[in-house]
Amino acid sequence: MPGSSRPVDGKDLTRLVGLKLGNYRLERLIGRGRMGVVYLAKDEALLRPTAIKILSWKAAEAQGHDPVRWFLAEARLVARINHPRVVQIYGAARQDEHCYIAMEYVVGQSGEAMVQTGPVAPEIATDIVLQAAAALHAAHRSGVIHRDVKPANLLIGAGGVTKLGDFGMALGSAEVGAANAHVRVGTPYYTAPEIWKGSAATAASDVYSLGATYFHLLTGRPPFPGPDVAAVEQGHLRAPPPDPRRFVPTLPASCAALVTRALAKDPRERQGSAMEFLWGARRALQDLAHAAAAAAPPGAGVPLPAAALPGGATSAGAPRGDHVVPAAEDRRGPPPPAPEALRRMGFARRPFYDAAPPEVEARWEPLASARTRLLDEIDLRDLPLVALTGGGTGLAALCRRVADALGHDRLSLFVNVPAAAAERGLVQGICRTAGVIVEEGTDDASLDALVERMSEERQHRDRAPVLVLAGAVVPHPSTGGLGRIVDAARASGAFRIVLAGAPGLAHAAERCRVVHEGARVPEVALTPIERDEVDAYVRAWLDATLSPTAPPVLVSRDAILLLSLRTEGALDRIDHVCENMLVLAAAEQRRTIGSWHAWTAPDHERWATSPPASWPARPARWPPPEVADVLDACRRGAGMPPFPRIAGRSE
Amino acid sequence: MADLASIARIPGVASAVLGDESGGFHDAVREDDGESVASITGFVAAALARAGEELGLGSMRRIAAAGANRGFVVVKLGQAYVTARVEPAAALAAVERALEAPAAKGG
Repeated sequence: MPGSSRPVDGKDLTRLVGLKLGNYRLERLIGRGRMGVVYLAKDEALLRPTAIKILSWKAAEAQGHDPVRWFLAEARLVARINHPRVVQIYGAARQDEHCYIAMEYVVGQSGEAMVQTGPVAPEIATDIVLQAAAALHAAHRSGVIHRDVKPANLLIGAGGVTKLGDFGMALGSAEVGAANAHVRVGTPYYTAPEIWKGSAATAASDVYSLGATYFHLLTGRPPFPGPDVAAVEQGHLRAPPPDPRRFVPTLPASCAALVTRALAKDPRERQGSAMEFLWGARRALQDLAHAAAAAAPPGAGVPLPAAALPGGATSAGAPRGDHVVPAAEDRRGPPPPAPEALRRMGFARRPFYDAAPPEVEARWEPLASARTRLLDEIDLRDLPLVALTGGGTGLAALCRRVADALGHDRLSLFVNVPAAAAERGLVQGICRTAGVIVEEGTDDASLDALVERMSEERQHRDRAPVLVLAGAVVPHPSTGGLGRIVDAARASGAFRIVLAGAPGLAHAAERCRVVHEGARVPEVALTPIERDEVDAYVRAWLDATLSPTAPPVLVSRDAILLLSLRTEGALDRIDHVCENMLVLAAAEQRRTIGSWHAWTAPDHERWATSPPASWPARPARWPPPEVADVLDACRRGAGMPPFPRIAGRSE
Repeated sequence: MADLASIARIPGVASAVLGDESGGFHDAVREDDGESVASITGFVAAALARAGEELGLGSMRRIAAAGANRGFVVVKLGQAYVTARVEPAAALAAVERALEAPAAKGG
């Protein structure tokens, strides 16, 4: 764009239909504002509709700006925000006396037009502000404060796709610089208290405006209406945030909480970022979907939020039942083929191989009690973060089992936290585990996608998914990343986090501000697995995997004692050794598992799908003295007499 | 504790194993795999004791099982169980009668 001379406005900026500016032929006036007018134009090169914003020179000069510089600054500002929910800038130019910006044309209507006919359906209003929050967060990440978030600047296109437009007021936060930072801008109904007081606009003031916009969409009226600007100002400065349920009593509490928190007078009491607002909006959408499902006739399915609908149909416009969540699939694949020897023993499914069946976990005390305590903390107290702690070699495996146990009625993801994970590595690793692939590889995008995925899971199964982060040490290189994940869980309500590690983890998490100051992290402590618990675990497994008509498999007490000794109560090793014991016994065509099997069975691999080339052979006399000595030691610990020495005794 | 050696000397008893109701193995005479025998005895005794209660037999004293080639007698002696392998199976009744005496002594 050439430097500015001082052309005057045309005779009337509203009468330019037919004029060609560059490749753009102006077709219809579609809007006018303080800084100029907007035309629908046709791009005659690319043959697409385009919005052309033409600057009013007088208006720009009245505000003390160099008009060309001002206009160019806006174009550059928006162009650097690369986000699908921000109106895209195609170019900026000057032709004769006209400075113009060519922008994406959104076919649809503005939020202002929608609300003119009354309140917007809550699920649609929530979906609109959710998308606007994503755009706003992208702007904030680019260092841009919008300063004029309001229904009129939300453009709702086909399928409910919402775009945030008109960054004209944002110029104070970027190129125009600090000289204008304290100028009060924006629209009175949506302007934050600190702006009324003359403070600089911040991301928090945009969040306030978004909250006010949400209130307006939900209720059909702004939060602080008044006969004049002074009355509106007093409302923003002094009146408590109104509860939208006064006007729409059926709104879920999460919708009201999202609004009232965003409208807090103190910016520090609002959502910490637009992204946090977005997560709260996701939670509200879930609750709205649940409410709709509860009101629906049985079997009607749960409508998806508009953002999740294929083809862009809004949930309000879709007939009930058109878009329903399919029944939760059994995510376990088919069991691996069992060795023939085990099949002969009557095992209906392979024991000790995959996640323990529910019958085992329901009857096995360490898992059952830990699962119950965790679920109490997670579901009943609605906490985002719980610590699961314990010591010893079996902890990791036990944590994994607890994660499996939690996974029976919900999505449960088990993630090992690498010792040297960078902050980004942690977030990305969790996303990969959750099957979330994000083209834009930033933490923000990944976290948002993770929340979306978890929200869908929560809606499908009516249970909050659980993320088990095992091996966590606090402080950790990724403590900051962990804090952001906890923030996401808390704000969205879409999932819960179980932080598994050594005792004291909960206190460390509080001390390192992984949770907000003053927030408590409950700690569920796992006790080491006792010998009789190993016994109960093995028996429960065998009972659960034998066919109903199969005779029992007996495991001698000495075999259990050796099993406990060899595996040190580590579940993974118990599983390996037990399965190998069974295969050994099956190869002998025996249904009694003895100390020989427990001593001989390898613990490093399973005899998975085919038996080894040569089976170990049982010695003529068992046990040899060195094994008997070990058994004696085990028996002493269990309060039993020494293993009988019968060698050489005939009578 | 029962005198396992004296039980093993009863004519027709091929081997004897001393165990407890949880399947624990305590002693054996002429039996190479007393551990397995004690396990099986513990399981069978527990199951049949429940069946006996259902049938109104009173507290369990003895279980006998016979096949074509051999038989087994399980005798409860206090808290212990003695499992005697009987060969040939035809000797089972005589062994049971002989076991009554030490069983009575043992309590």
